[in-house]
Amino acid sequence: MMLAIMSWMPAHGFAAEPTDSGTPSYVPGIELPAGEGRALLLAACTRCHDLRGLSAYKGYWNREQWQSMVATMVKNGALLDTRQMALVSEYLTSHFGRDRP
Amino acid sequence: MTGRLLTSLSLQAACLLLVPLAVAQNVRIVQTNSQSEVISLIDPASQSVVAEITGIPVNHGAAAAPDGSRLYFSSEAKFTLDVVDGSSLQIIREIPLSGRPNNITIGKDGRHVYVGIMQDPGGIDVIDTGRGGEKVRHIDTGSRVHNPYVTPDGKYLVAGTFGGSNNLVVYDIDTEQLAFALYPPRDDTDLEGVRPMAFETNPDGSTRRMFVQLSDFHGFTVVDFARQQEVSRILLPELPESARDPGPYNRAPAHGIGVAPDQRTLWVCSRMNGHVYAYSLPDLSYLGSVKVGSHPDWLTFSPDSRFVYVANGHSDDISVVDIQGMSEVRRLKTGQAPKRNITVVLP
Repeated sequence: MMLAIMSWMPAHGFAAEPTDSGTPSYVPGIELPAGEGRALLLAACTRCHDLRGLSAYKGYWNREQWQSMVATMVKNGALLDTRQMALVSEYLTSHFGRDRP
Repeated sequence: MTGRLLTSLSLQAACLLLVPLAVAQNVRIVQTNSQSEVISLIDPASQSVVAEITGIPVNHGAAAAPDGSRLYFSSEAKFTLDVVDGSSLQIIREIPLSGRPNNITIGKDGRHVYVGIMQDPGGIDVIDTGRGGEKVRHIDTGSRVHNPYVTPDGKYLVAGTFGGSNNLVVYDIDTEQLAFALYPPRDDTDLEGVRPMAFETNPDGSTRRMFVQLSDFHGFTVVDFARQQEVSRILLPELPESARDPGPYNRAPAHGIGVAPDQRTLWVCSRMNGHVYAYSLPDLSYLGSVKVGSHPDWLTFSPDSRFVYVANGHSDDISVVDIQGMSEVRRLKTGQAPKRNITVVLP
């Protein structure tokens, strides 16, 4: 997921580490709450960046904005199908979504 | 020996003169931190972080009024342009934008701030800074705007974009009409486009050349502004693969470029190599490189062209590089994921 996160997440503070498959993977850098979509988020997003930036968004974006971000990241190469995109968007909305009017 | 001593004393005297001048001028390096709500202010006289601005989550672009009375920051979390008082460093206004912003710039006269909108359909929001500030117009670029600039003479608004029919667009700033455009996309992917750029001026202040970074290009292009065309491409020297950052680099292996205020050197960031590379101007001879932090992303200069400040997006710090000595002289801890930075003189 994420180049916008290219603008946000693009700043990975943790080094990429090669996985068994040889694909680099970033340390998330954040404790993510349990929930459906968490594993997908971790798998898809940390291929390109860490997830520390999520905390800076907490409380600001609504469902539509998170869906837009997930769609952008899929365009940027995140490996999520339509069902998985919905799950990740819902997870982000539930745990990092808008908490103000 | 005496000559050396005198030279040394002269240098020390010059330094003593420069420090009070810098303090008197209240020069600050303003460093955004793209994964936090904090902006770091660095005093180049002490080379230390001396203040913070808080409350601007996912701050991306930064600009300052010509007199330093107002600072402007875009927030990707709030979708706003936040106006900060240059004296109190408090937010005094949040201006809603048409979409998720990226970088911003300000006109030479300070009357308008231009905000690049990265969210489809993109474009540039024009903010009138009078009466506290409000969005007054939107320039339809037909593309998502990553980095807008105003040329040093204040006559043109330039933007590097994604998804346009051309991804470098130049507008007459008075009429906001397109003057020329370059760089059609090489493919239809989302991240194909124009990245940061820098401007070299003629003796009369008009723009002579633009130095432009592109997606997937580890270097920069040279654009003759009057001829409105690219005249050359320069690849950065590469380090052995074992010494390179494994990436990925968001398809921008080289991101961040600037011309020193004295117009004598051009500095270029390499995310891939974790170095900044220097070229002399106007001949573009390679001068050397300096190792900095992880994923250098942006840079700005001290007004006297003695230091370049390099924001290291992955190591959460800023490298202070001595331009004459071609060496990193200080590494300052910032907030999380420092990126865009500017040099300002506060009131």
